[in-house]
Amino acid sequence: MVEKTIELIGVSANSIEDAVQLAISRAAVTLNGIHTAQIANVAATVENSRVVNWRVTVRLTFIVKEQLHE
Amino acid sequence: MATIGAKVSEIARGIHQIFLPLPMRPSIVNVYLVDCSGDWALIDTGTNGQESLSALEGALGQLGITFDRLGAIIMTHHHIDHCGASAELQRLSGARLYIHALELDRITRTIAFAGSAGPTAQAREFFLRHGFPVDRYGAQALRPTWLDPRLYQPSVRPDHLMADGDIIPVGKRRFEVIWTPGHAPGHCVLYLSEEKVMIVGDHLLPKITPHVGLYPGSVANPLGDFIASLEKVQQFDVALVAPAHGGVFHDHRHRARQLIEHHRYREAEMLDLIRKRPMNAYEVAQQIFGSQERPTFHILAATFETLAHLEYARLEGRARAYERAGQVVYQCS
Repeated sequence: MVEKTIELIGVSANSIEDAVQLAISRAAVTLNGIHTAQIANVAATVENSRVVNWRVTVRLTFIVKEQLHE
Repeated sequence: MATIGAKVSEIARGIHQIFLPLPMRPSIVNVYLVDCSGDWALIDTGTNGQESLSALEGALGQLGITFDRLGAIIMTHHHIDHCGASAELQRLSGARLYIHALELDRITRTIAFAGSAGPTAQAREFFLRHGFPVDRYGAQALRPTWLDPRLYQPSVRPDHLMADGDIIPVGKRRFEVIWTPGHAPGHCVLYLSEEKVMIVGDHLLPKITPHVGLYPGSVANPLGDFIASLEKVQQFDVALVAPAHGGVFHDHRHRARQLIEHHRYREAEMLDLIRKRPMNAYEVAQQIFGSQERPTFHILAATFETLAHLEYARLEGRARAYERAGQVVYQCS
């Protein structure tokens, strides 16, 4: 079995958890079988001394499927 | 009518894909000409533009037939690229015309809209209630430039109004009608069970997602309908999918699931915004689709696709809506 990892940045106006979920939801549009999300970094966008966005870098891992037949 | 060279491709035995030009993006619509052994069926018509009609006639010529060999013209939905030439083709061919009952109503409305100076008072109020600043953009700018009444000449006298599950026999073929509301309320796809071919109109496109918007006079939940229609087509055994835009493809279930996931993601993005503060559909659309300068019609489409999302979320209990200063705002807790 081979697995693959991609790195995405989820951006949420609300929370770190929501940013992670958005990254997973976007990846799931084109990828099946994502089984792990590892948080690599958390940052916040700050405007006028307030957090306006959470930017969470996530590494998503999925199994590379064998496709011998269409 | 002068014919021009047309691109014709046989995608399955006796099923021909014809590329017809469009005055907008996407710049090509595929219509399908099906040899039914003695009789021919045409699925969708292209616009009523001279270039499109000539290309269609050229394609028929390449297959050695003329318009009078068409026995049936079946339209997937009421949009300009799918039934714009149906009146002219009905006149030229004498073929039986088929369309879903709900699309006949949309045809009447679209003809009125194409010929109008601007939105009705009722539509204007609807736009304003959802935050769309109709006066800033101007009434004429709301109508896409390609919605030329000369290109939109659909027949308002079809011979048959289709319903879900109908079988349309043409020669030796049997077209099963599958009602797939969403992109349009009476959108239908056509299924040839023996050949396992599904002619899908705009329901399942390989590269782009069809527009699903909530407009004045729309059904209550077009996006919910669209997602249910994406689930519905997965029940059929399909070997080849024939779309109206883009190339043929094989795995209809994969693409249907992908489109469902796309809309789930879009909704998640929108709910994230309205969790922070309540917003109207226009404000949400500006955040999601960007506020850069674009044709007004695109801004309108983005706003009312967003509204379709917000209403879908509200009807399923994931968001709520209330009135604020004469506008409808949505919130997610």
